[in-house]
Amino acid sequence: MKNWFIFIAIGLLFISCDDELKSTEEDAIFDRISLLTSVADNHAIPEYKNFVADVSIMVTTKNTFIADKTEANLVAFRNAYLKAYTSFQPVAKYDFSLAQDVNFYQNLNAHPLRLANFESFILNQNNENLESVLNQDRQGFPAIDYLINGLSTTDTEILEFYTGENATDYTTFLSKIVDRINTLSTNVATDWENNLRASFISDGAFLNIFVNSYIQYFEKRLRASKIDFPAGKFDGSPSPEQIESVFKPEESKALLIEALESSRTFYTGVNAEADSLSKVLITLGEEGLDAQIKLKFLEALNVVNGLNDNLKLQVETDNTKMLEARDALQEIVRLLKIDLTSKLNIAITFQDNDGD
Amino acid sequence: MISAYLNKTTKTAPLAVFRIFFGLLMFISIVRFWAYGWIQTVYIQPKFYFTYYGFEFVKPLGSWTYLLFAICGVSALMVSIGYKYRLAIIIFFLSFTYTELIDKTTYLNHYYFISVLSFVLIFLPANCYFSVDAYLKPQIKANYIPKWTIDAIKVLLAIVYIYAGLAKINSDWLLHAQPIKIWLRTRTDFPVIGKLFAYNWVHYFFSWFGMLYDVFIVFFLFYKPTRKVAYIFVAVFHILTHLLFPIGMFPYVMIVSTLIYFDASLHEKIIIILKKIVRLPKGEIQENSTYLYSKNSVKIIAPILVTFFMIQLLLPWRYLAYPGELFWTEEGYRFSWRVMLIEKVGLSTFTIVNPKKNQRFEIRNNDFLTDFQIKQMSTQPDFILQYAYMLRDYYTEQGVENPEVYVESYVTLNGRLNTQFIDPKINLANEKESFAHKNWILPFYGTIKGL
Repeated sequence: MKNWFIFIAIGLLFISCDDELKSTEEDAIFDRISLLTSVADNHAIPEYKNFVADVSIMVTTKNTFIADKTEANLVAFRNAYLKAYTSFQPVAKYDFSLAQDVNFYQNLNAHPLRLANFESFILNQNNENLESVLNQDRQGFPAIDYLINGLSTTDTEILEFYTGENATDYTTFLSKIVDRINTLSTNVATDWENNLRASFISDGAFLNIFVNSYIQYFEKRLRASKIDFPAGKFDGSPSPEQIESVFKPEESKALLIEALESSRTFYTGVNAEADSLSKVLITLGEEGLDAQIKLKFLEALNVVNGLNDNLKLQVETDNTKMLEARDALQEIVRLLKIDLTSKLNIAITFQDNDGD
Repeated sequence: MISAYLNKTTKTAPLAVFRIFFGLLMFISIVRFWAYGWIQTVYIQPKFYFTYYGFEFVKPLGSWTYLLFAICGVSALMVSIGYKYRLAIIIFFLSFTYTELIDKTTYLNHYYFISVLSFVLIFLPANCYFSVDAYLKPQIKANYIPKWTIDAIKVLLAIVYIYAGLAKINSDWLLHAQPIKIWLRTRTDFPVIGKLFAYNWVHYFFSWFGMLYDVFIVFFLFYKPTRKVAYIFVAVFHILTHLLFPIGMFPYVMIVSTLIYFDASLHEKIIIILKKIVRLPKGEIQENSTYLYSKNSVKIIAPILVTFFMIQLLLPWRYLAYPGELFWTEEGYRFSWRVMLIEKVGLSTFTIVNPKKNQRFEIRNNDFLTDFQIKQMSTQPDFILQYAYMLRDYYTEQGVENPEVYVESYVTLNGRLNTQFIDPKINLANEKESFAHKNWILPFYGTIKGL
């Protein structure tokens, strides 16, 4: 009987084999540490440095504006804010360790801003605790957006809020939320360099953590928050007021592109030599999957570039284009969440249990 | 010949040792499950449970699940010490199996193994030697029992191993070393032997060795001259799998269970050691007595066990009745000792259509399911259908008239690029669950040859 089994098994060897599994027949050293080092030194840390520098300029221009409330200073501050909001996009994908503990993303970019009773919130800010999770959607970039773009239609009228009867409250509040972004960002960035980096590049378990964080970010924050919700994907009726930078909607596409570009660079690597998820797949002999992911990133960029600069207008005038952009992003989600995780043997869930 | 076999007797010690270790391991498993907080995350937290087809009456118990686990744990200890054994093993079997039936998300072959093994143990006289029962009622003491009782356990273990091995005789496993390759090659940071996992031949070695081990190990355990070496293989194999893969208590269950293949002399030595540990007097060795089943009990037990083993032998082959690739459709996959055979990851997003308003919207699975449930649901058609029913009922209650449920489902199998899994044009709300083939599962693009 034993011989019979061996016979079947060996017989199988000679049956022509199918071709869809041919790609992975080489020896391949999978070097977690080298990948983790690249993620820390080529992506996370420089991106945080860049962001913190822009935030610091935003703080300076804010202080200048507060000291001298002119239209010119408002515009300077607005430009600095926009630059910081843009360089925030790349760092949003590292939602673990200190960033997760302090709810970094939620505090900086929970959109839409909760506008109900927002004025009384500002006027009674001394009774409110910005550190409470209940107030995450009352601060961050969406709140600044409102305070410098949304209070009125012209700069002259907006300035009146900072010079009129409630000037102190508005000024203090603006200052408070800008400074809070500064504190949170500096803390997280400093922690990355002085603390997290050392464990990140030596503990292989961070592979699982950063890949999960990256995919989660791409699906839930890039695709869902920036596109699905405004396009009404989850309830069937579009709600354009949910877009990012809703009070200066002509900037919304630029933020989306920045997020998508940085996600793409994160995948492909900063240059051909640098380690990246793409390079790891190639090393493992998974060139086919790698090419697919790269292609889908380019296609998605192409579709997103075709949208109106003003995503609010896009939703209101031709929402099908938004839904097309969503589908293009979903193709990337699918490749990352199904194929990439399977090939790298990464569990997409942190809920542990036994398997067999 | 049959009656001659049935009258053969053998020493009780192996069965007693088996009972002690089995009960103890089950007790540890229960404590472990509890300590990890899994009772909460798996049996209390979910808002929805995936029941087994035909077992919809099994309901989650909320906080009472803790009581169920407590009962299960206590009965496992009672089995171990052999106190009110028959009652204890029945309670253990029922409470353990009930727990497993609450949600098939947690289905594992090894849990199924525990259920079938404890079912068989109900009919075996495992308490007539070195047990509290035998101490309290010396008249049930017997140092000989019918040989078939121990053979029943040996055969059950043989079924598990051999079927697990046969299932590995397929082209993915043997010719592509999948999914072992996917699982090993990223583990190069594994202590000592990790560097080896980069090599292609190592993946093939693990695959072939795993298949040959599963198919042949029980033969080498049966055969006395090879038994000791085979047992060393059992220990090394299961400890290695324990270190490499998250498979919980199963390796220990197998390491301990396979002791049953050894002669009684070994088990008598184990009992002497156990006596020393719990400080019982060394003495006794009662006069020879044999446990005999009463005529009436044989009339009941024989047909039950014969039927049981017939089912065990046939059930794994039921997949042959289904069209399509078994690893893809998973129709007839469970309860067949298909262990570690497939690496499957899927993404299933559901859309609800309100036909009256011509409105459509997508579901976020996190609103209804736990991460663990989402993972299992995404790759298994029966889960997908059950979840679609739940969504249909939920939105009907929310006031949507005759909601239609569609799924965009994509799955990767053993490293192939993901392809669409379920026909996206099918309104799942109208599909019926049954044992028949689900023709809305899209065909598998690929070939897997073998058993």
